[in-house]
Amino acid sequence: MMSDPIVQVFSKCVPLVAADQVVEIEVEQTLSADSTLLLHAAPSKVKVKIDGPRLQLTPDDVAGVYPAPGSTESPDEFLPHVALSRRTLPWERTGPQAGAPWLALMLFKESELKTPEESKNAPKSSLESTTVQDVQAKDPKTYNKLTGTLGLATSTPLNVLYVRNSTLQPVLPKIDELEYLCHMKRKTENGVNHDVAIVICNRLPDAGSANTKPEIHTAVLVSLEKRSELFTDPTWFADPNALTALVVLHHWTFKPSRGGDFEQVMQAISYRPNGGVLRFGNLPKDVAAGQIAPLSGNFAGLLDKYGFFLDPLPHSQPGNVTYRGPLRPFPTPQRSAAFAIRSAPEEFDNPDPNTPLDYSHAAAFEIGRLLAASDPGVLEDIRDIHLIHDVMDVPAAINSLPPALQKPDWVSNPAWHEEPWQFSPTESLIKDQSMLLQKGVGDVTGMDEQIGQWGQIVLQDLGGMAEPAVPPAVLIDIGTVTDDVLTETFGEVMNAAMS
Amino acid sequence: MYDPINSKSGVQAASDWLSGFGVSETADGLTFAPPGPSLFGSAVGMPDRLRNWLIDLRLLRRIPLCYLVPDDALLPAESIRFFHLDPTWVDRVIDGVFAMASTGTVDFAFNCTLLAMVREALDNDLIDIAKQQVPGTSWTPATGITGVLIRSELTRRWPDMSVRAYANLDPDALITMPVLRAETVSKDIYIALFAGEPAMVEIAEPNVGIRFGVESADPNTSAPPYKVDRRNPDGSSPNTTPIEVELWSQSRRTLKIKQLATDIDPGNPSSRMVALHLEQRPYVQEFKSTRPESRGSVPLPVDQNGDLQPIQLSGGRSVRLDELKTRLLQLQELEEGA
Repeated sequence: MMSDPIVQVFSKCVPLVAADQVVEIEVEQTLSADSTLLLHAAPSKVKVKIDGPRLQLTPDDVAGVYPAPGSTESPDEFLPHVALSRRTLPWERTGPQAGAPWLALMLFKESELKTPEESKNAPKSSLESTTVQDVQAKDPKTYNKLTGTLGLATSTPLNVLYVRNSTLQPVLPKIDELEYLCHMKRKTENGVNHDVAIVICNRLPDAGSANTKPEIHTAVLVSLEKRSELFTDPTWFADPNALTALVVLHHWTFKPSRGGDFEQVMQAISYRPNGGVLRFGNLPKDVAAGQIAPLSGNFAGLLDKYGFFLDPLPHSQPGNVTYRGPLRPFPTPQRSAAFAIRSAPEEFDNPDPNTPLDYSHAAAFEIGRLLAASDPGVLEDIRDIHLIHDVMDVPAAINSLPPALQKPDWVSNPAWHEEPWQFSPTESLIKDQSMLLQKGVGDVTGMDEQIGQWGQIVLQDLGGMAEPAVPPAVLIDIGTVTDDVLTETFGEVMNAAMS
Repeated sequence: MYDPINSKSGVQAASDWLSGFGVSETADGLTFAPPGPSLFGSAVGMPDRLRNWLIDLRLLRRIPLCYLVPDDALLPAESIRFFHLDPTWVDRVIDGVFAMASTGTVDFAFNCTLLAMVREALDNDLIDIAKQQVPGTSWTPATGITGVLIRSELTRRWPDMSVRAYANLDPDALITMPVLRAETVSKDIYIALFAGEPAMVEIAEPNVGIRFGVESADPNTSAPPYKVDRRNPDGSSPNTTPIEVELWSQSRRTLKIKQLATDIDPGNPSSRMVALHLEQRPYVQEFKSTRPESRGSVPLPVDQNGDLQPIQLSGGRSVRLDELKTRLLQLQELEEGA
């Protein structure tokens, strides 16, 4: 049985070993069988360097972001955040100060990153894919930081966002706020832990005023690894027009909404002139003074309690025609057990002027016909409809013997075969086996009967036959045998052979 | 060569058999046949594609919206409407589908036997759909189907909102009812069908995961100052005074995060408590059958001077009604001009 997931929130998840830190592991191996030592490897030291993302993230590193990239519906009261699959990432490297995370999520409006002229030339992105060397031209101070403090090669590729100091300084999180913007969340489901690190932005989106369209906002996850100068150097932001390069690990854009969140939109429905939460057929206005509400709640309405329009819809059919769909304000009568098998438009000819012609069911019938006609597959499948016949129960008293062994006339005694129970009370149904040897019993070939019928005659005929006359044998000298002698001696045989 | 077993032709035999069904005409443009006896079989076999297609019709899919809502005024903008579903009307749609394949008397006779079993098969399929959601449900189509239509910005901005229905109001022992259908019909129209008549319907904001944010402390607008609800370390809400969230700069809208952490727990500020307090949970709107219908549509609350009165939401928040008031004035001007 699946249990409800358990969610836990942790302030941080600091790894045992920081990124780029080298640790020494001493390994000793011993292999033995029973009490016999087979192998002993002397202790040796292995140096291991822990690696981790530093300049950019892969899609697998990002578990999710809010608002969704390209979103236009997130209220401007919700803070952007990014969830990272690597639960220790914000604490793997040294931030601007000891103990502070090295990641921060920042938010910029399009007008803060581009001049109006530059915006006209959109969609040029403010984010640049460049190398460490190219940073020097626009922000030499950051260049020195990247090559000096962080030790990056000048050819190292990275993504950079250049922001004017006048824009960056007011929105940069304070150094002592960074730790409160990162936490780790664990979700335990069916005994399995799913951990993510979450970095929250310190700045709310700005949907603008009612007369302006919301701007595109860019959320950037930036590296503050050992960037203490951004917070402690009073001269860093001295030139408001100078650019500061931010190393961007991940970014996305969205537009905030001014339309209120889900609760606000839901609650506003009840207030006129919005449509209200009503029974089907009611109108969001009070019934006129002196009138009776047609349905309920003292509201004016379009339908009566049966679902018919109080003022019939415009129609081209002559007569007092009415229609109502399947949606009704009150419970409907019991479902009809009958089936419509054909339309009968002739029923609407010469109608009584005082009787409304209800086209509802006829319209529904035609809707079904038209829907079926519009889909050849449906017509094809209807032809495959078939009745499933009742399956006969497997007989329980079938003789399982093959037919040849089911011969009822194993015995030739008619009385025994037809009415075995009527046999003489003195004679048992269980016969002596010697009876099987009697004539006609147990002999499926019928030879016994044949022998009985013809055997005696054959014996008599054979016995009455005279013995054949056999002449004495004559010794023939082979040396004197000639053709003439043979012909004379075996003349009958020769003649028989020749014929 | 052989004497015929039956002197009737096939058409004659079918016609004679059909006459036993008592086919009748009524005043609604259709010819009806009562349910016929199941002479030849105990069930009907049909292709799964057709079966699913017919189930869709039973759940009002594929039926143009203009037949469900014939007048735009029945479902105006920013409205929610609860309704009962007429099963006979839907059955006529199904009857029409099979009538399309009737090309003669023999088909006619076949339909009289077939339609009853098709209807029963579809009823059983709907029961299976209901039981997939709520295994212990005893709902049958004879109980009836109700539903709700939503035409609102809610559908456009939150098409994945969830709908739940309950048969009772006891919060400690809620009985879940099956939701047979819950989906968008168009960009701003959402429909849900319930197996039975629920005592309470919940429409919940889609759960898109964690969200962090603040709430306006000013009941009249959504502008700062902002505040967050207090939360216990276990995430529950003690329903005490919210905590104000200050800004470094109103124009830049940057929050004083450390100040918030200290206000939450002066002795032990932590990022986890900041996260718990900033977390914005999905909103759930309840619609209860015991609530007076008259509260479903009320005038804008204005004082004697015509100024909007604040509408309190959960946690002391407010509804942005200023745009509503503008729209109301525009509508009044239109009516006066007409």
